[in-house]
Amino acid sequence: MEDYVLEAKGITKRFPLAGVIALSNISFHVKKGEILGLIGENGAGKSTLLKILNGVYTYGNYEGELFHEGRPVRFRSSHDAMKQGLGYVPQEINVMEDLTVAENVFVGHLNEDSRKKSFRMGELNRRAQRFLSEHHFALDPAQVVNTMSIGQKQLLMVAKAISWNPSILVLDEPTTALSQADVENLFAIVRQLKSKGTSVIFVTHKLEEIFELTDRVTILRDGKVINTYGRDQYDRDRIICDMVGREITNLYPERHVAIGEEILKVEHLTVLDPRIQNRNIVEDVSFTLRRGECLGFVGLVGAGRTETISALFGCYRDYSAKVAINGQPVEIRSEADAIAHGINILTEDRKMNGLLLLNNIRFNVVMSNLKKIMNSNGLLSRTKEDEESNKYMRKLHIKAPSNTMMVANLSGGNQQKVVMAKALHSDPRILLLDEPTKGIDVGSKQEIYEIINELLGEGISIIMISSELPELIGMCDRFIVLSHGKLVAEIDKEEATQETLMSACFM
Amino acid sequence: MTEQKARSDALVKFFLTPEVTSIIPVVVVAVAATVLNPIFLRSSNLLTLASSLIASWGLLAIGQSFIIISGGLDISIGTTLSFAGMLFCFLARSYQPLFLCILAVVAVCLTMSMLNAMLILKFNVTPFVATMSVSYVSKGLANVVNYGADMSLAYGVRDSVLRFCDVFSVKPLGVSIGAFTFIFLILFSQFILQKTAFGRKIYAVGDNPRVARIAGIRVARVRAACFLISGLLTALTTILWVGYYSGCTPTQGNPWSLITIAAASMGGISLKGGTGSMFGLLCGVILMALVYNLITLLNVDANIQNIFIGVFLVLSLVLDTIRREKTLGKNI
Amino acid sequence: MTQNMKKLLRRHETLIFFLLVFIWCSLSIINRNYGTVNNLCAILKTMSFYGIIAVFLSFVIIGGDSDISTGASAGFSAVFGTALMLETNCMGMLGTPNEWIGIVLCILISMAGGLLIGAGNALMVVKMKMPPFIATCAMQYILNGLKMVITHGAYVYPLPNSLIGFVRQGVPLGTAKVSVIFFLFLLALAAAYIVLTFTTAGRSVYATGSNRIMASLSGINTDLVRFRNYMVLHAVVAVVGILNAGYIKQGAPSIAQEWHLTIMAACAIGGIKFSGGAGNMIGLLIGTFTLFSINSAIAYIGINTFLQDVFVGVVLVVVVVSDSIRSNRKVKA
Repeated sequence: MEDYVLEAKGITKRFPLAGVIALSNISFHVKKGEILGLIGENGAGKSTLLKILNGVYTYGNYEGELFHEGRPVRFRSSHDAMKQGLGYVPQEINVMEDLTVAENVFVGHLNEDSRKKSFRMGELNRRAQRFLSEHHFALDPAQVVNTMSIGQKQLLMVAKAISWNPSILVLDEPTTALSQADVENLFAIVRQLKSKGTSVIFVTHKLEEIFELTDRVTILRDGKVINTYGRDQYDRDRIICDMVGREITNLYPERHVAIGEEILKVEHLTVLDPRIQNRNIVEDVSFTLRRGECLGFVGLVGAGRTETISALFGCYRDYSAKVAINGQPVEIRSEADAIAHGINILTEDRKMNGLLLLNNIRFNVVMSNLKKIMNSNGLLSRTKEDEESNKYMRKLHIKAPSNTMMVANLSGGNQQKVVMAKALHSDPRILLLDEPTKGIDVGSKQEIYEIINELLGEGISIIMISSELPELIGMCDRFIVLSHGKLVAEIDKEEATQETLMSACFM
Repeated sequence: MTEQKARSDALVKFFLTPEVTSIIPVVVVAVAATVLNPIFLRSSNLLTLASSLIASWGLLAIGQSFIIISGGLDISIGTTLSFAGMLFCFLARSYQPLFLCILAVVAVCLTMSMLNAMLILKFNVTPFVATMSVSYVSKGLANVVNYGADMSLAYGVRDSVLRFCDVFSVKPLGVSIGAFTFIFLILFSQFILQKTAFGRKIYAVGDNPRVARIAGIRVARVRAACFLISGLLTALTTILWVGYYSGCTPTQGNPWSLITIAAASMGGISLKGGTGSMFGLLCGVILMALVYNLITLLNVDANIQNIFIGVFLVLSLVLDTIRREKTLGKNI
Repeated sequence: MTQNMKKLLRRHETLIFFLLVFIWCSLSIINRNYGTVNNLCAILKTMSFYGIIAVFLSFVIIGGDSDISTGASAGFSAVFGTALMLETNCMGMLGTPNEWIGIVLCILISMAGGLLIGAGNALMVVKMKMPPFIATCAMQYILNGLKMVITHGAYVYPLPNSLIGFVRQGVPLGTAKVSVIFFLFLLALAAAYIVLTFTTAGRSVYATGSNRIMASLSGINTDLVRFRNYMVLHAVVAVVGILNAGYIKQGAPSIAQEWHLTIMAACAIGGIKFSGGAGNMIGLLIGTFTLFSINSAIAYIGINTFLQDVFVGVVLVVVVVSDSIRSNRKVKA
C-alpha cells in the first residue's frame, strides 16, 4: 500500500549449505512516521532480516519482495539501500577514530553538491553544527572521535545514518553499550525523527524499550512473524509468550544421573572491561556447581554469560574472584592454569576460536594435553596419538574416513565434536560449554545431547550457555540468570519454563 | 562429482602440495644450469656451493623458519650476522682470547633476537617494521666497528684464533664443517617440529594463536623461544662463516635476511604461519643457491639474483593464497 | 593556560618542534660550525630530496598502506631517466638552448615509468591483497635487480648541463645558498597540504586509512584512492631520483639505495601514524628537519657517522612503540 513507507511480502531466506531456513515467509509493514519495534530471542532471525532490508543480502539472494514507498526495490549493495532512503545503524560501534565528528557524519557526501571537488573544513563544521542542532545531537562537530565516549560514538553513528535523509531508519540494538542518560538522549532523538515524518524500526530484546518508545511491535520467533501488536495491546506476558512459545519436543534424551557434592564454588567474580575505563562487564557474580550437575547460564546477549565463564577459564587479565575446587581455593591466572585444575571450555565460535583449520582431526584433538601422547622419553608417539584420536572419534561418533581428515572439510556438527574431543582430552572435571549446538543440524544436536548426558554420568560437571531456551530447559538441572553483568536470579528445574526464564532476563 | 572432475581435482591438489611445489623449481633450475653450462654438474662446483652458501643460508633459514611457522618474521638476521662477525674480528684483532670473541657473537645475536621478540610480542609492533628497524641498528653498528672496512683474521690475532680458523677451514669429504652442521641441524629441526610437544605448539601458535591459548599453550613463550633459537643459529652461522673465511666484511650477511625468507616461502612455509616442513626449506635453500650459482656460471650480472628474490616472493605468496583457499574453502 | 593552548602543547608536532629547537640550541653551543648558515643550507638541501618523497609516501601511509620500495624506485628511475637523456641526446636537443625541453620530456617518460611501478605495487597490495611490506619489498628487490642488470653497474655520464645547472641553483643566504630543491620540497608540502585539507579527494585518503570498510560502505572508491596514492608516489619519486642524479652529476646506480628507511623514519617522526588515518604536512616538515638536524649533529659532534644508520633505526623503534602504547589505552565509558 502506498502510505506504507516500507513493506515486506513473503521474505524467505535459506542457507542451503547449512541446511537452515533463517526466515520463513516474513511479511510486515511500517507506516510513515511510525516507530515499529522488532523483538525476538537470540537467533529468531532479526539480524538476517535486517541484512536484507539493509542491502547486505542483495536482491536475488532471498525470496519475496520489498516495497519502499509503494515501489518494489532491489538493492544491489548497502550503499545503494542507503542512497534510496533506507538508513541503518548497525549494532557494532564502527567509526573513523582519527577523524572529527563532522567528517564522520558526512563521509561519502562531504559536499552537498557531489560534483564539487574542493572542501572547506570550516564549511563542513558549520553544516554539521546546523545538522546536529536541528536533530538535537549534543555533539561537537570539531571533536576528534577517538576522544569521545562509547555513548557519544553510538549517537554519532545514528547522526551519520540520518545525514543521508532516510525515509526510514533501522536501529539495531542501539542501547547495548549505552548508559541510562545516553539511552534517554537517543529516545529523544528518535521521537524527534518521528515528529519530522521519518519512520524508525527499533530492533531490541529489551521489553522496557518497546513499551516506552514504540507505536507497534512485531515479534519474531524461529524466522517467522508471530504477531504484531499496537500500543494499546501491549502486554508483557503475552509478548514473552509469543517470543518463546513453542512445544518442547522430545529432542532431549532422558537422564538419570545422581548429583553429588559441591565441586566448584565461585564467589564475587568481577571482570573489568578491557577496553572501557571504569566499567565492569561482570559484577559480583557468585555460584556453585555440583558433581554430575548441568548448570545453565541464562541471559540476553550482552548479559555477561560468556565473559563469566571465560574469566573462570583464565582468559581475562583484569578480574577478581574467589574460586574453590573440591573445597580447595585455587588461583586461575591463565588458560593453562584452568586446564591444570581440570577445567576446559568449548568456545562460542568454533571456526575462529575452536579449531586449527590448517590441520587434521588428530592434531586438533590431542592439542590441549600433549603429555598424554608422549612416550616415556618425552617424545610424541604416533601410535598413542592414533589411539587417543580414534578413541574420541568413536566416543563422540565423529564421522570421517580417518583421523587424518582436515577439520576444515568436516560438517558443522563433526567440527563441534572435534572441539569437544579436544576439550575432553585434557580429562576435565568441569566443562564449560558456550552454545554447544549453534549452527548444527538436528541429528548432530541429538548426538551431542547424548554425549553430554554420558559425560554427566561419568561424574563430569557442566556449565552450559545457550540462546535456545528449550535446549537449556531440556538439558539443565539448575539455572543462573544474568542481566547487565549481574546475577539476578537462580531458578530450579521445577520452576523453569521458557516464560519464567525469559522474564527473569528482563529483571 | 564425475570421475573425471575428481581426478583433475586430485591432480590439482597434488601439484599444490608444498613438497611438490618446492622441488619443481629446483629441478627446473638444475636442469637449466646443466644445459647452459655443464660445469655446473662438476663436483667441485656443487661441493663448494654446498660448503659456503647452502650451509650458511641454510642455517640462518632454519632459524627464520621457526620464527615464520610460529607466526612472525625477521628481516634482521642477516645484518645481525654482519655485526656479530665484525665484532668477532674486531675483538680477535684486539688480541682478545677466542672464547671472548665467541661469547661476544652469541651475546650480540641473542640480544638482537630478544629485542625483536620484545618489540613484536610485548609492544605489538608489526614484525616487519620491528625487525626492519633493528636491522638498521645492527647494520649501522657493523659499519661502526671498523669504520666501514673489512677485517681479516689472518694476522694480528692470538694463536688460538688462528687455530680456530684452521680447524673450521677443514673440509672433510670435500665439504665444510658448516655443511655437515647444516645437514645435522635440518634433520634435528624436522625431528623437533614433528616429534616434540614444543614443535607441535609452534604449529598451533602459528595457525591460530587464540585457539592455541585456549588449549593452554603459552603463546608468547613459544614465539619468544623461536626467536631465541634463531638467535643461536645466527650466532652459530657467524662463527662458522668467520672461521671458514678467516674474516668478515661489514655487509657480509645483509642480503641474506631476504634470501632466507624467499627460501622459506618457496619451500612451502607460509609467511602467514602455521605450516611448513624442513624438506620444503631444504628445497628452498638449494633453489636460492642454485640460482646464485647459475648466475655466476653464466657470467651474468649478479644483481639478477635480486630480481629472482622479488619474483619468488610474489609467486610464492600467490601460491600460498591459492593453497589456503583450497584448504580452508569457505571456512576463512 | 587556556584549553586550546593545552591541546596545542599535547600535539605530536609541538613536541617534535621543541626537540628541534633544543637540538639547534645545544649543538650550536657545542660546535660553533653547527649553528651557521652554511650548515643550515646543507641540511635543507640534503633533507629535501628525502622530504619530497616523504610527502607522497605520507599519502600511502595515511591511506592505510605502506611502501618500502621508494628508494629502489628512485634509483631505478634516476638511472633510467638519465640514460634516456644520454641515449637520445635529450631528444636531439643536447647542447641547444632548448635542451631543457628534452630533459623535461625524458623526465615525463620516467614519471610514466613511475606510474607503472606504483600501479604494480597497488596491484599486489590492493587487488591481490598481499601484505604491503612484503609485496613492496619484493618490488624493491625486482627494481634493484633490474636496474643493475640493465646498466651493468655503469654510471650514466655525462649529464646535460641544464639539468646539473638547475639543481645547483639557489637563493643566496649569507655565504650559502638555499637550494632550489628545498623550494621544491616546500612546493610539494604546500600542494599536499592543500589537497589533504581542502579537497574531498584528500579527505577520502584519511577516511580510507581510518576505516576502510566504512569508507567503502559510505560510497568512497577505496581501491581507486589506494591506487592513486601508490602511482602518484612513484611518479614523483622518479623526478626526485633524476634530480638527485643531476646533483651528483651522474646517473649512479647507487642513488637512493638505502633511502627508504630514512624516508619512513621521517614520516614516523613527523606524526604520520603507521596505522593510517592520521598525520599532516606541518608535522612532516618539522619531523624531517629534526631528523636531518640530528643526523648532522652526529657528524658535528664527531661520533662515528655510521651511527646515523643506527640512530634512524632507534628513532623508528621509539616512535612505533610509543604509538602502540598510546593506542592500547582504555577508552572512556
